[in-house]
Amino acid sequence: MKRMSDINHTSSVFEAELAELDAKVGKLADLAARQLKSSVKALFDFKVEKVDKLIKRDDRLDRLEMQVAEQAVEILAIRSPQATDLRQVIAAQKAATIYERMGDYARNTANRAKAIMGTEASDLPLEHLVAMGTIVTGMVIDVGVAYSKVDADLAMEIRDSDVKVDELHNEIHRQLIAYLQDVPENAVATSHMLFIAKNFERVGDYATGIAELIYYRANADMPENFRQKADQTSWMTDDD
Amino acid sequence: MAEATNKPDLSLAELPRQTVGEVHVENPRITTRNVNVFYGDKCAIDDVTIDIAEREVISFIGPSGCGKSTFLRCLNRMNDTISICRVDGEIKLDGEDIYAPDVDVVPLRARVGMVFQKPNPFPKSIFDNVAYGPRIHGLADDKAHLASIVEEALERAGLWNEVKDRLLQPGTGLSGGQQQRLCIARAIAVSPEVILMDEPCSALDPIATAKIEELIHALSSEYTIVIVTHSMQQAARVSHRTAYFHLGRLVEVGETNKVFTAPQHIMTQNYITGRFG
Repeated sequence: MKRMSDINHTSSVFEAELAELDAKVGKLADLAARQLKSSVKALFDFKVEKVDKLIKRDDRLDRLEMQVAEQAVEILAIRSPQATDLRQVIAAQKAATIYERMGDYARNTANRAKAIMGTEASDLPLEHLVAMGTIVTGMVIDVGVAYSKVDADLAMEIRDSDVKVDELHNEIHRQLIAYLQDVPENAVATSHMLFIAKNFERVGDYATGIAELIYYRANADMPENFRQKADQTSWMTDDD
Repeated sequence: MAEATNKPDLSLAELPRQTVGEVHVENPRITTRNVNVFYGDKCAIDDVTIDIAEREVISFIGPSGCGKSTFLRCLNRMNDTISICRVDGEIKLDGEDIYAPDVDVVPLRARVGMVFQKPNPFPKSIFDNVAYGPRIHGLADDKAHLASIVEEALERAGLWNEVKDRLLQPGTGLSGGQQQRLCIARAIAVSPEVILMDEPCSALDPIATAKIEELIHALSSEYTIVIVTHSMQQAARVSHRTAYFHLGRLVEVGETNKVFTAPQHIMTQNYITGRFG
């Protein structure tokens, strides 16, 4: 027997429009994860042509975000969606903006990888940065899956895991500051690495933003508990 | 009833015996308890209990045939005019049983006025349309008083400036939107406590609809307004609370912003998102 929740819209066109909107957000999620993965790879397996492609590909995220924004506005204006449909449209619009920003961070990371390769620096402590980038890329992939299934439980697990990214960021930040003091001739490369670590930390935050949208879409409310945050880099001093 | 989450409860995929949401209010003007309405053997309203608060606008929504207009018409005994219609249960206005044997429906319908789907001005002048109620209820002391009642009612209905120079012309000569506002003026000329509106904008264009909605908003500071509407957007725009009816039952009632963003019952959700109805 068909459940009430499985019933399609009376308007098949509206049904198709909502499906198309979700499909576009899915594409954005895939593209953002791919860009991040490539940007992390650029840190340990640098190939200039691949990095240039990555930078060029960022346009696709920008265009897709615009398409989602336009379609969301059209649906709001023409269909006046309510309840679950309204939340689906609002979540899509916000998620698209977040994925586009993630893409910006991936592009920025790639640019910085290029800049690092252009310096004379060698034996840089990149492995922790690669590990952080890999964890964060995993979060972005997982949150894309949670979004496609509107799985609020999985979304909350991903949200809670961001605290580990923050802790890792603190550790890497301290490590890089110590490295900067020990090897001041690599200051330019090290400062790029500090920014890359910050990029990954922000991407982790964005993944939690998507997770909260999934929760909102499923439950018509934001998660009740405040998200645990552990990033201390903004107020670190010499004593830390 | 939903718990911590606002997610619609899928276990409520059938018509609920009990209405989802809070049916009682602190300051009721109308109280209804276990109301059943039958047309012959057919049950049109099944055990509906709901309070309607003082100075609130409440919308009744639901698919055609769900009983929302039938229930609305119970609130001023308009169903009395249908011979096969029988109403059970209790309906009180300010604590008084409106179905008590000694209740005279004429003053009741002055206290609980009604505006219908199609504007229905009397074939009289604009002035006489509005003056009709005050005349039969003896509300005016003299001609000047009657004129001031008419003017005030037309003012409140947002029509005075448009008709003040042609009060003696026929009401039927006005546009549809103006005619509907004339009917609202006619209803409020007898100082009702409650105004019932049965799809008051379904025959009007968007501008005339906007004027009626603006009027509902203005009138809500003084009157209790119950509106039956097929327009979800209208219910969302004008009402403080929304009640969803289905197959004669009151499925869900709640604050309008909650009902339209986070309905509790899966049937309400499927209706307002256009999945049936």
